[in-house]
Amino acid sequence: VGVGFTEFSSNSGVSTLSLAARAIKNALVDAGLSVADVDGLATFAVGDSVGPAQLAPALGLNDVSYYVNHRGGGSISHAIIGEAAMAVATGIATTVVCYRALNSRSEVRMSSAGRGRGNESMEEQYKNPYGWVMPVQAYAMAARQHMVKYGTKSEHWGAISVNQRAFAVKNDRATLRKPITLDDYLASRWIAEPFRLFDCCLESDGACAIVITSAERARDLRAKPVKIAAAGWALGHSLMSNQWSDQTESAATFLAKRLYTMAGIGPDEIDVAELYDCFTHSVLMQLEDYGFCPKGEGGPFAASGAIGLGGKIPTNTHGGFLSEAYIHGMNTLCEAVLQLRGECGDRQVLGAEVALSTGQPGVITGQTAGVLLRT
Amino acid sequence: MTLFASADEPKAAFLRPLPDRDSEPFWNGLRDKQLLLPRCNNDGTYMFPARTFCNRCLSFDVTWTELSGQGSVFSWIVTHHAPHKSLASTVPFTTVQVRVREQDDVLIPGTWVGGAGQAPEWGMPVAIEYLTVDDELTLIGWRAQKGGDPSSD
Repeated sequence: VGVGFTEFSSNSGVSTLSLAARAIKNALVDAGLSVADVDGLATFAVGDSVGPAQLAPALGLNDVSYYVNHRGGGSISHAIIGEAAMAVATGIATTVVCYRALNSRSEVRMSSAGRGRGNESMEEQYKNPYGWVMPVQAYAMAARQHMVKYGTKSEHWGAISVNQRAFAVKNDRATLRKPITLDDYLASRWIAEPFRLFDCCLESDGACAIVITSAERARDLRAKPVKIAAAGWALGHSLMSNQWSDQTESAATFLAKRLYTMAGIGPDEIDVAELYDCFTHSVLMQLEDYGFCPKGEGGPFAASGAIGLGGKIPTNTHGGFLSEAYIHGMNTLCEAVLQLRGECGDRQVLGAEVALSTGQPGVITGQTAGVLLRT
Repeated sequence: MTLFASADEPKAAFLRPLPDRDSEPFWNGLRDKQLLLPRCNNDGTYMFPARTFCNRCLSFDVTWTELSGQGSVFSWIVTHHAPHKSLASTVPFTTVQVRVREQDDVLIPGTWVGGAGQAPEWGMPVAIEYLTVDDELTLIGWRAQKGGDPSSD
């Protein structure tokens, strides 16, 4: 019933706690609620974050009946929404604020988050000695598999990057708004082949918050509510835990079935898709695994214009992590809400009634996602 | 040949693997120029990363077993952006994942040590080359082999 943002930047100049509070205040104003109405707080952490235990006293909340601070990143981003809906549905809480705040550019960089004992580090020992320590290298390994198996080309990754920048040009929250062409993409420097700079997400400072309450309560509030029609979880695989040996498949394949069944829809009924995009590859995988195109054809599909405004499935209409900002899935979700409210200006998907919003696609850990409906 | 080639101590510390209680025999094996993995005595499954129980049948009856050290290229990346400032002079470097001959879903990373300037290609047959860093640590290099069907057992 409410979404809130801070400015997105490369140096916020304020604490992570301040970012969280600003986004939450904006979301509550949007909803027409006051901070005293909040009895639930939910977030997650990889790298920089601020947890409910620090936030509640700072907001003057003395009795929080539901809180969660997941350890995890993209795989968890949409879990907190599904869980908040369950908390509200079961009466554990009445009004839950889901948020993500991070200074991931100016303070704690995300790009080295994989290193160190203790944080799901069992696999790290087998990769680190070979200089494989960054998330981009893991996704590049998986992307290579898609290129080998299906003939996906650099130009296909580039089409996704160019599409998202075109949307960012129309989004005044976006941090990168200079248009780019496919040639610009191909001229960007290698990070880890097959990925170039423009395949990679930003590292950003900023925060987003979203307010969840019951449908009954939502009717009386200021903002036009958006309904959570489905939420789901699926654990996928790592790149080397002998479990699956096909890195071109993701957990989204399983999750899509569950979400579509729960929401009573199929991919053809989705009007806009906001897909987790730590790298271009994760968008392509999801276009396939959510059934927008056949498996293996994501590259040509993306390059055909199908993911742009007026295309079959406009995708990442905020510009995504590649061009708007990296707020770890929460900006993905907030854009889906704004699209369904019809508040996206030049980048609005006309008549959008059904949105898919997702976390990391479950190549490497898992995926959580949701289907949202206009009311 | 390894990223440890420089005497730069911070670099070595940064890259040094952190074995866990389940993986010590793996690292000790490499030091003795053996590629060892735990294998289930019930159904023959190899476990990688090293674990003390089978992920097919949950048996805890496993034996550390030597692999042939042969396999085929499964995936590869060429890292240009130094993951750490101490590696600035080392990029670009190529890392491969190799599908071992014994089991399709065991994919073991290592440094590409090529073979006559070869770039990796999918399915290219490879063999392990032990890369000694110091008395404590030996790493895995993968070297291209001529001919042979990588998928045959």
